[in-house]
Amino acid sequence: MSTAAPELEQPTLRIDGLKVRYGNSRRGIDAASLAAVRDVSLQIFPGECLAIVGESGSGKSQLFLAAMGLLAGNARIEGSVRFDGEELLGLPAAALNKIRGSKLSMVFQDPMTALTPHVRVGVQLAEVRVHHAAATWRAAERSALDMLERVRVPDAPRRMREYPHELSGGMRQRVMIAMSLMCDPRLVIADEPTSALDVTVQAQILGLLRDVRAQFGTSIALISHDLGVVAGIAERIVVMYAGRVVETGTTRQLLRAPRHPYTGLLTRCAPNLHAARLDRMPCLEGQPPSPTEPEIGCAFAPRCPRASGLCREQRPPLRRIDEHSEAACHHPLAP
Amino acid sequence: MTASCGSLLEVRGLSVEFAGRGAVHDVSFEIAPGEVLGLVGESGSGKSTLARALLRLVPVARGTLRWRGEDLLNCEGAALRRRRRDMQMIFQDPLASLDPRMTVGETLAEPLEIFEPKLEARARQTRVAEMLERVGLTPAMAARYPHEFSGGQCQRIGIARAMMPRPQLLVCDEPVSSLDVSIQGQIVNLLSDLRRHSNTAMLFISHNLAVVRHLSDRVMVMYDGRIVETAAREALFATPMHPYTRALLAAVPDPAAALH
Repeated sequence: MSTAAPELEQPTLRIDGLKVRYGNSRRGIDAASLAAVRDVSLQIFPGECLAIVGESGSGKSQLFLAAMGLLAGNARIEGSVRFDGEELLGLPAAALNKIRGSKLSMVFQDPMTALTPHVRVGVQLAEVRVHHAAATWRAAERSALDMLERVRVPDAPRRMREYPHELSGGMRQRVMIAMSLMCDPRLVIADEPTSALDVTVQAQILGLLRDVRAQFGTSIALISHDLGVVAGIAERIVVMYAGRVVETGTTRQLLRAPRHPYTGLLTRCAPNLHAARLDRMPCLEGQPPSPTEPEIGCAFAPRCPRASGLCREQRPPLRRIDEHSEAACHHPLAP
Repeated sequence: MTASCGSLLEVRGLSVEFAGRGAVHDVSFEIAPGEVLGLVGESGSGKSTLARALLRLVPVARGTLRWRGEDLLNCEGAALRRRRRDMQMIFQDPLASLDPRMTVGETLAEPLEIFEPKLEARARQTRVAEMLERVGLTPAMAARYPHEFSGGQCQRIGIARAMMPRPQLLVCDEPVSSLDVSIQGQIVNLLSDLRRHSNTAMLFISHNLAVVRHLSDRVMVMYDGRIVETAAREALFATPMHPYTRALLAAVPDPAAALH
């Protein structure tokens, strides 16, 4: 894994100042509207796996759904999303459809609802190449079979003829991953790809994602609420809270010496058999703020053990801490 | 509570079949009053079916179920309803397990209307308010609807509902697996507090051993419909005997390993 100055390369995905708000149908966007993403910038470089970690409601999925043009009709998006240099926001659907599903693909949390229930697995996979690569059905089905074998689906010829309900959860997720790879994507967005799976199957799917990177050189955006899950794959981690990035850094650095107190608490929450068993299971108390609440000061202050008066009044900006990391905190943890 | 009655629930040779296919095979175990028994296994191993069979929510093909020595399988009508009061369940999906059209207060009051019909409305409200506080919510939340709460809060409501009739056994079917890891501990710690406060026995089901070990006194491992290992907590984690138990232990991600 090379960590050679990625800044020199053009990022595969570059998000700048992205904001996502939801308006009320009568009032439109105003102070009372819901802010899902409040101002996020990030970059994913070729071949890199970037993890985006945060709790439910932190905006981590909204960010990438916005990039894919998959948000609900009442969403208002500001900012810029450039994929291989091309601006995606405001692109007409026809132009976007050429990119998403082929060069930019997505793996969803629940493979049962993401797959079409009444279409055989082989046809669903082949259709991607027929649609995006103008392949013949015959050639596309050969590619589909080959891809199922590459993601280690046992007895692939039989699986091709089966329907999604005939597969186990782990097999369905392998099919989803195969589907995302059908057109040699530059970037695969994996949104909680293992959260609906058992821990044993989760370990297999994470191993598969690691192989996919090695084999295909694809960039991966791995979205998860579990630092423990992303730790084994990602080179860099972006931590989100209440619609903003609160810390970024290399995986090593962020796990070893987190600077934001939120990240520090998250590292203790990942269910872990290697830490000593405590009488109380470590967790974050309280709730994240509601996205309709006005933002005053640091959004994490009400749950933060280090919060001061300053934190409740002034929102800390995301500041560079060293070469590879940034944190948004008035009282960062010591390295 | 008489000391002589021994186990709260005694299961012997329990089997459950669906359309002739076995889902649970010849399972035997006991739960003592106030004990927390962990049940671990993967999807399809039969752990939820076993839980449902204990509450007589699915038919039992063979075996016996005894509640404080009394035969549960031949219990019907009013007697079965009485037993169900003593055995309550918490489900995996906290939002789906609550009625979206009922306020939280109505949901919590319903078990009292059924099991304690003589209780006056004011006394019922007091019990609802007390329970909301005990699960870390506020009495004012009784007027709100499930969709107004986060997943973790909905699970607190589900726990409050289950605790309302003051059960002696709480069957928790994957109560934290649909929640963020950052708040899974909130729910596990709440169950731990409730157990200390009310001495409620629990069957705690999960596919994740790292979660089970915080709460359980003993742990059973289920694979393909059978119990393959049962051990006291410390023994199971220190010296797992069955290869499947070892596979489960190995599957829990270890963030520290990423640092090497």
